[in-house]
Amino acid sequence: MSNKLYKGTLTNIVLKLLHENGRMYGYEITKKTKEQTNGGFTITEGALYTILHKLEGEEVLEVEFEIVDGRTRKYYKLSEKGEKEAVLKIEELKEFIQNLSGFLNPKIA
Amino acid sequence: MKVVLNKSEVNQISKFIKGRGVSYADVNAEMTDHISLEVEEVMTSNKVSFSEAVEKVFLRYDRFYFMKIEEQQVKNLEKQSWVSFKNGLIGFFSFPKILFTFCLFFCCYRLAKLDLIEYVGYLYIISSIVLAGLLFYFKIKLLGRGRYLRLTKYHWVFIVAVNFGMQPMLRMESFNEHSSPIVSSSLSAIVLMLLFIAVELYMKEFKKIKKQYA
Repeated sequence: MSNKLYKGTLTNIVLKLLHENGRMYGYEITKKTKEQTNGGFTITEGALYTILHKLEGEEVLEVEFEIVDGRTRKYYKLSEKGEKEAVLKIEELKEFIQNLSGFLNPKIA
Repeated sequence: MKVVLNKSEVNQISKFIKGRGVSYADVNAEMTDHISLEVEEVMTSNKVSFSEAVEKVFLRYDRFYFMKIEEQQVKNLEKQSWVSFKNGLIGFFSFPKILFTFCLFFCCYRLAKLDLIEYVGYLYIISSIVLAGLLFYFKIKLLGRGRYLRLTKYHWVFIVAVNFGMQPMLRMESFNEHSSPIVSSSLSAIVLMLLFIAVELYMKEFKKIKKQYA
């Protein structure tokens, strides 16, 4: 699938995953996205970390560092502000998909 | 059975990422963990050695890949520092801190009226030295160079305060001769306020870093 098609929804995907799973680290997010879409979506590291760092800067995400297997792991979780934003973004995403589906299948809509 | 990399293997990956221009500790640690997990997965599923797995994984990343991630993070930090400074400044004009701001301006004005504004200059110099010492302490003793980089995002506030304050403060006498008490006291209070904001921002960020690494 063309990456351009879901580029604009990457933030929503990340927020949804964190909303459902609590705290996650970068690699886990890429794996989970791949798993849940049966390999349909592949988030590149460059795009993922850019989004995570941006959301961290906007205080939508909070971070925690933990030593796992002898190395530092950075976990991301939604802040209070982020929880509210995630709910809104998920709704937005659902509405977008519904509209798109209606557009592609006018008979069903 | 899942392969787990040993310390020396993780260090090799970390050094490689550092060699690609990533000096910021948080980004380096995050990328090292990410690549280590990928290498472990390749080693587990393909049953290959560490060096073979590393070679395969690194093929996916071009020379500037990690640098771009770091650049983006630095941009985010710059943006964040401006927002924090703005909030810090607004804080000085909101209740209850506005009472402190009022007292600061009033004290400076009274000192200027009594021809004692040079005492504000001394306070400014002492505060600057204390702040520089505090930063040195953070850098050397508590954070380590990589994590200290996160504090450097607020250096501009400190630099502005020093540059803004240095000229009139060091030539206080001639400065006072040519300016009214209102001008000299307002300027002094603004410079001190900038220094207080810088201290507040540094302390806040420092506490945040300590909490995150606890």
